[in-house]
Amino acid sequence: MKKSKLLTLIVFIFLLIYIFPLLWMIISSFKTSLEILTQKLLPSKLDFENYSYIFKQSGVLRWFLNSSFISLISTFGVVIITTLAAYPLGRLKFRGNKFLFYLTLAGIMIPLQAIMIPRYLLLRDLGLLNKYWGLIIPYMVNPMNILIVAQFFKGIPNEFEEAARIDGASDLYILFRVMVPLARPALAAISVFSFVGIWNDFLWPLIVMTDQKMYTLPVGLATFYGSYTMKYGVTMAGNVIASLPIFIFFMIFQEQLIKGLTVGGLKE
Amino acid sequence: MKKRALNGYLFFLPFGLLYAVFLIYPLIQGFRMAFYEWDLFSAPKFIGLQNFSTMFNDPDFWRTLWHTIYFVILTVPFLLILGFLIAVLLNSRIYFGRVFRTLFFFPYVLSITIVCSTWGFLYQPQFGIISKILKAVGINYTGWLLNPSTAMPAIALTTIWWTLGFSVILYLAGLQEISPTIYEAAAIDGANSFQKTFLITVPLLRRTHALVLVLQTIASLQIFGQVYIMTGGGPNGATRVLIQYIYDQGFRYFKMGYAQAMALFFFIIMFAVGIIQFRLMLREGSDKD
Repeated sequence: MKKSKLLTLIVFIFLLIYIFPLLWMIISSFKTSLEILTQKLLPSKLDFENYSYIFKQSGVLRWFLNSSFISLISTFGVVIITTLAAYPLGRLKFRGNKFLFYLTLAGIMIPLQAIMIPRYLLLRDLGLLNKYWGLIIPYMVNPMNILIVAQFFKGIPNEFEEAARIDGASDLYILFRVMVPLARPALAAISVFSFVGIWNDFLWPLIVMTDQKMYTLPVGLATFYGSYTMKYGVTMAGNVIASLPIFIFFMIFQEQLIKGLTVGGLKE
Repeated sequence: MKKRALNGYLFFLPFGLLYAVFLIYPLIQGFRMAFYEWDLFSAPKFIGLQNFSTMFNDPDFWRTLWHTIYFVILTVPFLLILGFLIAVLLNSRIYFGRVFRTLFFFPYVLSITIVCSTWGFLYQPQFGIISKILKAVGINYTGWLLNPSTAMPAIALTTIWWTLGFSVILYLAGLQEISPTIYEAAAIDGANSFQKTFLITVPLLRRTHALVLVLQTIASLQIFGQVYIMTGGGPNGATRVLIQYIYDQGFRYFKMGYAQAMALFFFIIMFAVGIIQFRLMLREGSDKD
């Protein structure tokens, strides 16, 4: 079929309007305060003043490292815990299997907002406030991921498992040597999906981290912007810095991310 | 077989343990707390249903609940309609379809802070670009986030922009599953592309519409960060939403029991919507078997 130039043009114009806020963010990050106040369309030169300001005046580097550490470790934990729990739910036949499945399913009905206060108190009692683990451990509990991977495991043909069983392989061996390699697409999808979700989370780090050294990037920047309301050039520079890593990540893992979203939503 | 069961439980254990401690336990504690008066410093005092009667008589509770629902009404229909239209366009015969899809999707992965502070700058009254553009076409309005009547729609617009990509992705996935032969048959019958879109695609995507509706409703009911960053609940409380009210009552004024009573109410709303999501997911699963 022939592609339409007219339709392409229409979509392109619409897209330009759609991503204008991002273009404007980038352009404005190079403007001086005067250029922003006088509403100049383009900066007269590439001015990196705003960037050096935010690096000097805020903890942006530290927050970036906090976010990276928390997101990486949590995602790693999610993958391990999810793989282990999804295997019996998806593949092993035993008494209580159904019960565990419905128990997990019920977990997706609990919104964080409904339990944020008791969970905050629990973390306080455990001494986990303002600690990395105060974010990481709760992030590792995600019932949705388990359902997705369990469903994927269920769809793997029996032959693979039977062949290994005849050779006398243990459950653990089958899980990590047979199932995990076959389930790589599903595991990749939930990893990328979890990473982005954790990296961008706002409410939970806002509650758990009150020491500004421990802020994650979204919470740190929001607090920093709140105290310098009129410095929009600096704000835009901060936004560009914070968007860059997620942009690179997005470009590399886009397909997995989309799979994670559609699988989580549409299938099972 | 015995060993199989033991292994099953062992594999489930790490998750099961964390699940019990960080989800089930807080949930049970939350139910209990709602019946107590507690400021964190003195001992909790059992007061029965008093928190709930306070809640139902608290105009701020109703107001923030209404603002939350108002926000859902302002966002969800657009996320459905625009999401569908963009997906159809991206799925049509255009050049650079994949590049366009990527760019439409990208804002969705940005953090709430980036999105809201950038839009705060666009809305800025004196030197924000939106007021400037509107001025150029003769509209003199600058009060976006400062006027109680436009503040919530302004936050809604920002949110639609932010999460539209999610709707688009879900719709694109739905569109992939429609067999091209249906359109070929319609073309033979002389249907134009407008008819094809609205008489074939729209009804065939029933399940996707339902899914987008439910997932975006769940997301919008949870609104908090946008308001927290963009207006702080102002002007004059016009954008204060339920989660923010719970957050303030709990973490600012330390009315733990009262905040938790409202959190339970929120839980019930989410539970009701969640049941619908559940049924969609399970039905989808059984279709495949």
